[in-house]
Amino acid sequence: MKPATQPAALAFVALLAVPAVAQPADDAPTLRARRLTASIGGLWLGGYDVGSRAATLRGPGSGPTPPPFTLFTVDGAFAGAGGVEARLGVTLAPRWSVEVSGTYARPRLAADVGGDGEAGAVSFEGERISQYTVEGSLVWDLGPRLGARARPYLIGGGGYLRQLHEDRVLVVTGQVYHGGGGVRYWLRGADGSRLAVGVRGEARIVARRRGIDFTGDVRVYPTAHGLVFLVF
Amino acid sequence: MRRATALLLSGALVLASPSPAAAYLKFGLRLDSSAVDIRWGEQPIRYFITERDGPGASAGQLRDAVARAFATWQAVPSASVRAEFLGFTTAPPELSDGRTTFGFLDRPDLERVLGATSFLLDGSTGRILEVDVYFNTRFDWSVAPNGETGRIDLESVALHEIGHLLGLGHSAIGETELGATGGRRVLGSGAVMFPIALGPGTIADRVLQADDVAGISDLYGTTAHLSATGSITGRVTLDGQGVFGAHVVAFSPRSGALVGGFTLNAAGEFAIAGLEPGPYIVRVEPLDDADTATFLPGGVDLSFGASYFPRTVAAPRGGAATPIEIRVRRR
Repeated sequence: MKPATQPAALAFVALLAVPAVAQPADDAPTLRARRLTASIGGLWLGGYDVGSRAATLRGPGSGPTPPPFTLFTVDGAFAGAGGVEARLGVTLAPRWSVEVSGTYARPRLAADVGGDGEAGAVSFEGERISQYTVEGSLVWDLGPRLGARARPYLIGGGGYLRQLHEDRVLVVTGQVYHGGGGVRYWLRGADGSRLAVGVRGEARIVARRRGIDFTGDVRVYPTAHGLVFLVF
Repeated sequence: MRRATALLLSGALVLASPSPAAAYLKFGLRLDSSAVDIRWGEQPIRYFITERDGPGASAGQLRDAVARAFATWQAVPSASVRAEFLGFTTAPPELSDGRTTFGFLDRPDLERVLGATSFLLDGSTGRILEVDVYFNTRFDWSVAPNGETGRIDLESVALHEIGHLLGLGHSAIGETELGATGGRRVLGSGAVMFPIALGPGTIADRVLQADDVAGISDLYGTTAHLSATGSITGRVTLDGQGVFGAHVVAFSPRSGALVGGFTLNAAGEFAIAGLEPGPYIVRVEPLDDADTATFLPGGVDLSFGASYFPRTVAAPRGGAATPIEIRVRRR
């Protein structure tokens, strides 16, 4: 065994050993009804294309629609970016809760220009976009245990997207819809007590409608979330 | 006593002649220390048609083609333009008679000029007294709905000349290449106001392009248009100095619209107005696709290569983006 892998292996074994000692096997942690949960942390937005467009001129051929002359083409994409996130949730039933979340990130809108016979190919450094979302989600805690302190869940919802260009002169709005899953891991209070603390990791697929886009299409991209949560 | 100034515009539409490409320009006049746009203050614009047939088109067909071309400009929703045909006249479209006149005219000396527009202005106020537009009988004209091979579409040229009549200069959104006989061949045109016609047989210039719409809306824009569109401003510099006569084009990847402007002073400053809000790619190039005199007086800098501003620029709704500086390199 390589030395570097040994601590990781030991930690994994230790993690698995915790639930057997901490609580009975049939009592997986969950959020109790009418409890509030506050979460704060970070997220990562996956990159995605925003479309391609050609700058065309009317060609000299005869007829109403002669073949066009392409001056240059532009391919746009959002690069992956990190951000911050805060959520507030309330448990409606032992396995059901709703959350309202807000995120902020500054993804870079990059563009590549090609096909320009005079200027050649150009890659733009891009423009920083300030992006905000406010979303509502329904969270369903799944039955299978992942140990005495961890519980998986599914999440889905949607909300409002607001994107602000770098010069802060233009706001573009849209909608985002998400679906995914994650795991909560209780660091304290896994037995359901108040002021429980834990961490949660989550992965989503997001469908974005409207917002900054070159062709107006719906875009799909992944996101990953890591948060600390506190149960009141 | 009224001082009248006759101003013959360089706004002739030519066929395969040398001229550069850029975005919309407005005609202007310097009065005392201030510059004023040449535009119609009183509407409808009342005009006559010379009672003379041309090669391939009668005076009546010219009247109809001019009416259709006026209707195309009038149909721009973001601008307010109205015109009214008053009747036929025996006067050719070149007399200072106080009447705005369209007509055929013999200009065999102008081998490549399809048509031209001339103004008579009040030199003290800049008010338009008369505009005459001629169509050169040296060419065979067509009024066929789908165009005719080997003939110049009358409505297309009328649309271009009426753009001048309304106060627009030439657009440089186009690409050309030098022909074997010294003229230029159009590879592509992005505006009806491009100074070189697409050529015989085509009717593509019957449709206004984004640059034309931005230009006419800048001159005769409605209040709603001004509050709904934005502008991109800035400078073009070469080795830290302003560049005069650079052609700057804003391209909207969202709509595909190309709208241009020029740097019009020694500081290299430009402004492109009438832009739909959204991100734009901004490209700058020298005015080397036609005769520079077609667009601007002397001193145009052609020593630099085409370049881009290195990021997208957002045009706001009802205002101007933060000014940008586009640095170009000597070629």
